[in-house]
Amino acid sequence: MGVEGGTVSGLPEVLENDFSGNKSLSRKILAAGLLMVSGIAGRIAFQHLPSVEPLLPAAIATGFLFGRSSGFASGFTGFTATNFLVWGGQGPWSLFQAFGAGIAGSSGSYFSSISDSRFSFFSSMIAGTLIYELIVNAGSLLYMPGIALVGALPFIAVHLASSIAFGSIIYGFRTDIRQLAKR
Amino acid sequence: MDSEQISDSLRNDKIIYTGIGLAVIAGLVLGLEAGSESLLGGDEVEVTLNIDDGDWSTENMVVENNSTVLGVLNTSHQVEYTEYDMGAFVTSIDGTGGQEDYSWLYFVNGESASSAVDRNYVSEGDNITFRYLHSNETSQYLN
Repeated sequence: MGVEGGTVSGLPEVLENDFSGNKSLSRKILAAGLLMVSGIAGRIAFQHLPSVEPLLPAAIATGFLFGRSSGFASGFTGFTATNFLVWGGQGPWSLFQAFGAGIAGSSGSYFSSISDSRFSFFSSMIAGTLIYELIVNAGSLLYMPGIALVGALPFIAVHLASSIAFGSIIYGFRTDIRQLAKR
Repeated sequence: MDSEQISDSLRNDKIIYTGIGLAVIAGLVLGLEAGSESLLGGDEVEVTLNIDDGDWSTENMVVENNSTVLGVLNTSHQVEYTEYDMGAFVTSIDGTGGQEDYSWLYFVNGESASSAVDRNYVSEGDNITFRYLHSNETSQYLN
């Protein structure tokens, strides 16, 4: 399939836009992959603490730094992969977590398109986490009807604080991450 | 701004943002672990044990969470008991017991206990009272 047709090997156009050029592609995958692997390792390490995990902020940061398809791929793949490795495993929630993290990750690019500022970065963390929580909690109503969503509020608050905290660490290294992708 | 200043600024950025991030994460970890301990009852609970054998004695004790009342009593007293199908029944505490028409009853937070001492688990702040009472007095508590 041709590049001019809007797709590369059947991948969506957004992927082509993000990953155009072989060298750029490999460096970007390396940088995004490092973020995702760190996020996966952190999610496994912190699994005993509800809602404290670095994978979602890593996905949002990936979207912010490298574009929406990178962010989506990072969130979707990262959550799908780690659900094989954490307590609870796979279940109906996996689909909502994967899509929620994917959409949250891709939302990061929206904020970077507005501004590359610190305010924009941390806004993307807050918005991305809320998007993820909205999707996951709305999804839980489908397979656990009658569940009181008000009970999720403390966990959402913890998740927001967690995303801002892990996002802060990623923000401190944003220049190194970008340089890694450009080398 | 020359390249050295930029480099310093980036290094400072790393230190500041990593420090803030780690501090918040540490706060979350400590807060959640303390919170879950409090919600789950933690490893230990504090209870008050009163013994009324004519003289009244009170002691505050820290015992393992989910200890039985018998376990609490055994911690600091010589206890004799008889086991029935419904559980253990205390017959003697520190040598007091066995008198005709007298028996040991126990109360948790002022209420006459409804289960045997080895089947009743203590909670944080419980006030447990063992009273050595004549049958004239026990009848009002026994249904």
